[in-house]
Amino acid sequence: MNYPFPRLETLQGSMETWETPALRHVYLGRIRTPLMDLLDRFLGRYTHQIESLVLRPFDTHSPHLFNLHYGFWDQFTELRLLGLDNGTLEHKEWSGWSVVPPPTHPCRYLVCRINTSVGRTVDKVHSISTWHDGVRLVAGHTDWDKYFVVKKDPDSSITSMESNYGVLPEF
Amino acid sequence: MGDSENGPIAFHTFYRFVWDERAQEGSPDLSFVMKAREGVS
Repeated sequence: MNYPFPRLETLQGSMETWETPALRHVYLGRIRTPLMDLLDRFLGRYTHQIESLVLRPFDTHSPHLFNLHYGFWDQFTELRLLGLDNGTLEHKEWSGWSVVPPPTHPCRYLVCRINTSVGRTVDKVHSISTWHDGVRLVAGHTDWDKYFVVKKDPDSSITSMESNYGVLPEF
Repeated sequence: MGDSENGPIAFHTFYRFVWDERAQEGSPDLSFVMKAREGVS
Protein backbone atom coordinates (compact mmCIF):
# COMPACT_ATOMS: atom_id res chain seq x y z
CA MET A 1 0.00 0.00 0.00
CA ASN A 2 1.21 3.48 -0.78
CA TYR A 3 0.67 5.82 2.09
CA PRO A 4 -0.40 9.33 1.09
CA PHE A 5 2.21 11.24 3.07
CA PRO A 6 5.53 9.36 2.95
CA ARG A 7 7.37 12.08 4.79
CA LEU A 8 10.97 11.43 5.68
CA GLU A 9 12.60 13.48 8.35
CA THR A 10 16.01 12.96 9.78
CA LEU A 11 16.35 13.68 13.46
CA GLN A 12 19.89 13.49 14.60
CA GLY A 13 21.84 14.70 17.56
CA SER A 14 20.47 14.90 21.05
CA MET A 15 16.94 13.64 21.35
CA GLU A 16 16.35 16.22 24.03
CA THR A 17 15.90 18.73 21.24
CA TRP A 18 13.09 16.78 19.66
CA GLU A 19 9.66 18.29 19.82
CA THR A 20 7.31 15.37 19.96
CA PRO A 21 4.51 16.41 22.30
CA ALA A 22 2.04 14.14 20.53
CA LEU A 23 4.11 11.01 20.76
CA ARG A 24 1.47 8.46 21.64
CA HIS A 25 1.73 5.69 19.04
CA VAL A 26 5.32 4.72 18.45
CA TYR A 27 7.19 2.19 16.34
CA LEU A 28 10.91 1.74 16.98
CA GLY A 29 12.78 -0.43 14.52
CA ARG A 30 16.24 -1.91 14.01
CA ILE A 31 17.01 -1.45 17.69
CA ARG A 32 20.41 -2.53 18.97
CA THR A 33 20.12 -1.32 22.53
CA PRO A 34 18.14 -2.76 25.45
CA LEU A 35 14.76 -1.35 26.40
CA MET A 36 16.18 -0.02 29.65
CA ASP A 37 18.62 2.13 27.70
CA LEU A 38 15.84 3.38 25.49
CA LEU A 39 13.91 4.38 28.60
CA ASP A 40 16.85 6.17 30.11
CA ARG A 41 17.75 8.05 26.98
CA PHE A 42 14.52 8.62 25.15
CA LEU A 43 11.30 6.85 25.99
CA GLY A 44 11.33 7.70 29.67
CA ARG A 45 10.05 11.16 28.93
CA TYR A 46 6.95 9.82 27.25
CA THR A 47 5.93 6.83 29.32
CA HIS A 48 2.84 8.55 30.72
CA GLN A 49 1.43 9.35 27.29
CA ILE A 50 2.45 6.50 24.99
CA GLU A 51 -0.55 4.36 24.08
CA SER A 52 1.11 2.07 21.54
CA LEU A 53 4.68 0.83 21.54
CA VAL A 54 6.12 -1.48 18.90
CA LEU A 55 9.71 -2.61 19.44
CA ARG A 56 11.67 -4.41 16.76
CA PRO A 57 15.31 -5.42 17.15
CA PHE A 58 18.00 -5.17 14.53
CA ASP A 59 18.69 -8.84 15.11
CA THR A 60 15.51 -10.86 15.29
CA HIS A 61 17.17 -13.31 17.63
CA SER A 62 17.69 -10.80 20.42
CA PRO A 63 14.67 -11.25 22.70
CA HIS A 64 16.68 -10.15 25.72
CA LEU A 65 16.73 -6.60 24.39
CA PHE A 66 13.10 -6.14 25.32
CA ASN A 67 12.96 -7.76 28.69
CA LEU A 68 10.36 -5.98 30.77
CA HIS A 69 11.32 -4.82 34.22
CA TYR A 70 9.11 -4.96 37.24
CA GLY A 71 7.41 -1.61 37.33
CA PHE A 72 7.06 -1.49 33.55
CA TRP A 73 3.28 -1.35 33.69
CA ASP A 74 3.30 1.24 36.45
CA GLN A 75 5.58 3.32 34.27
CA PHE A 76 3.56 3.03 31.05
CA THR A 77 0.25 4.05 32.56
CA GLU A 78 -1.49 4.70 29.23
CA LEU A 79 -0.10 1.82 27.19
CA ARG A 80 -2.84 0.02 25.30
CA LEU A 81 -0.72 -1.88 22.78
CA LEU A 82 2.67 -3.54 23.05
CA GLY A 83 4.12 -4.95 19.85
CA LEU A 84 7.07 -7.29 19.47
CA ASP A 85 8.47 -9.69 16.91
CA ASN A 86 7.61 -13.36 17.03
CA GLY A 87 11.29 -14.00 17.75
CA THR A 88 10.83 -12.28 21.09
CA LEU A 89 7.41 -13.57 22.03
CA GLU A 90 8.22 -17.17 21.18
CA HIS A 91 10.95 -17.26 23.80
CA LYS A 92 9.77 -18.68 27.10
CA GLU A 93 12.66 -16.84 28.68
CA TRP A 94 11.34 -13.46 27.61
CA SER A 95 10.83 -11.68 30.92
CA GLY A 96 7.56 -10.15 29.79
CA TRP A 97 5.78 -13.41 30.38
CA SER A 98 6.40 -13.00 34.09
CA VAL A 99 5.77 -9.25 34.17
CA VAL A 100 2.04 -9.45 33.64
CA PRO A 101 0.01 -6.27 33.21
CA PRO A 102 -2.49 -5.84 36.05
CA PRO A 103 -6.09 -6.52 35.06
CA THR A 104 -6.88 -2.88 35.72
CA HIS A 105 -4.19 -1.66 33.33
CA PRO A 106 -5.46 -0.23 29.99
CA CYS A 107 -3.26 -2.62 27.96
CA ARG A 108 -5.56 -4.54 25.61
CA TYR A 109 -3.35 -5.72 22.75
CA LEU A 110 -0.19 -7.75 22.57
CA VAL A 111 0.87 -7.57 18.94
CA CYS A 112 3.09 -10.24 17.49
CA ARG A 113 4.72 -9.28 14.22
CA ILE A 114 5.16 -12.42 12.20
CA ASN A 115 7.52 -13.17 9.39
CA THR A 116 6.63 -16.81 8.98
CA SER A 117 3.56 -18.96 9.51
CA VAL A 118 0.74 -17.23 11.36
CA GLY A 119 -0.79 -20.45 12.63
CA ARG A 120 2.41 -21.96 13.95
CA THR A 121 3.52 -18.74 15.62
CA VAL A 122 0.17 -18.02 17.18
CA ASP A 123 -0.07 -21.53 18.56
CA LYS A 124 3.34 -21.22 20.14
CA VAL A 125 2.90 -17.73 21.55
CA HIS A 126 -0.60 -18.48 22.72
CA SER A 127 0.59 -21.52 24.61
CA ILE A 128 3.30 -19.51 26.38
CA SER A 129 1.23 -16.44 27.21
CA THR A 130 0.59 -15.85 30.88
CA TRP A 131 -1.30 -12.60 30.40
CA HIS A 132 -4.89 -12.27 31.47
CA ASP A 133 -7.81 -12.66 29.10
CA GLY A 134 -8.31 -8.92 28.87
CA VAL A 135 -5.23 -8.67 26.67
CA ARG A 136 -5.87 -9.82 23.10
CA LEU A 137 -3.12 -11.36 21.04
CA VAL A 138 -2.91 -9.76 17.62
CA ALA A 139 -0.85 -11.32 14.87
CA GLY A 140 0.28 -9.08 12.08
CA HIS A 141 2.22 -9.63 8.91
CA THR A 142 4.39 -7.09 7.19
CA ASP A 143 1.24 -5.77 5.64
CA TRP A 144 -0.51 -4.25 8.64
CA ASP A 145 -3.76 -3.90 6.77
CA LYS A 146 -4.26 -7.58 7.44
CA TYR A 147 -3.99 -8.87 10.92
CA PHE A 148 -5.55 -11.50 13.12
CA VAL A 149 -7.09 -10.96 16.52
CA VAL A 150 -6.68 -14.26 18.29
CA LYS A 151 -9.68 -15.58 20.10
CA LYS A 152 -8.88 -17.25 23.37
CA ASP A 153 -11.31 -20.04 22.77
CA PRO A 154 -10.51 -23.54 23.92
CA ASP A 155 -10.04 -24.61 20.32
CA SER A 156 -7.57 -21.76 19.78
CA SER A 157 -9.37 -20.73 16.63
CA ILE A 158 -8.19 -17.60 14.89
CA THR A 159 -10.52 -14.94 13.67
CA SER A 160 -9.39 -13.06 10.64
CA MET A 161 -10.00 -9.35 11.07
CA GLU A 162 -9.20 -7.63 7.86
CA SER A 163 -9.62 -3.93 8.12
CA ASN A 164 -8.93 -0.90 6.05
CA TYR A 165 -5.94 1.06 7.27
CA GLY A 166 -5.24 -1.45 10.03
CA VAL A 167 -7.63 -0.03 12.59
CA LEU A 168 -7.94 -2.36 15.53
CA PRO A 169 -11.38 -3.15 16.90
CA GLU A 170 -12.15 -1.77 20.33
CA PHE A 171 -13.08 -4.11 23.11
CA MET B 1 -1.80 11.58 12.86
CA GLY B 2 -0.16 9.79 15.69
CA ASP B 3 -1.69 12.05 18.26
CA SER B 4 -5.04 10.43 18.90
CA GLU B 5 -5.89 10.04 22.53
CA ASN B 6 -7.96 7.06 23.57
CA GLY B 7 -9.49 6.62 20.13
CA PRO B 8 -9.18 3.48 18.01
CA ILE B 9 -5.62 2.33 17.44
CA ALA B 10 -4.66 2.57 13.78
CA PHE B 11 -1.31 1.24 12.66
CA HIS B 12 -0.91 3.80 9.93
CA THR B 13 -0.86 6.64 12.43
CA PHE B 14 2.17 5.42 14.35
CA TYR B 15 5.26 7.52 14.54
CA ARG B 16 7.88 5.33 12.99
CA PHE B 17 11.50 5.52 14.01
CA VAL B 18 14.34 3.33 12.89
CA TRP B 19 17.83 3.21 14.27
CA ASP B 20 20.13 5.57 12.45
CA GLU B 21 22.85 3.41 10.99
CA ARG B 22 25.13 6.42 10.70
CA ALA B 23 25.00 6.86 14.46
CA GLN B 24 26.74 3.57 14.99
CA GLU B 25 30.17 5.00 14.38
CA GLY B 26 31.42 6.86 17.37
CA SER B 27 28.24 8.52 18.48
CA PRO B 28 27.52 7.98 22.16
CA ASP B 29 24.04 9.35 21.77
CA LEU B 30 21.00 7.38 20.85
CA SER B 31 19.92 8.38 17.39
CA PHE B 32 17.01 7.36 15.30
CA VAL B 33 15.73 8.47 11.98
CA MET B 34 12.12 9.39 11.94
CA LYS B 35 10.58 7.84 8.90
CA ALA B 36 7.16 7.98 7.37
CA ARG B 37 4.75 8.49 10.23
CA GLU B 38 2.03 6.74 8.36
CA GLY B 39 3.68 3.39 7.79
CA VAL B 40 4.52 0.55 10.08
CA SER B 41 6.09 -2.04 7.89
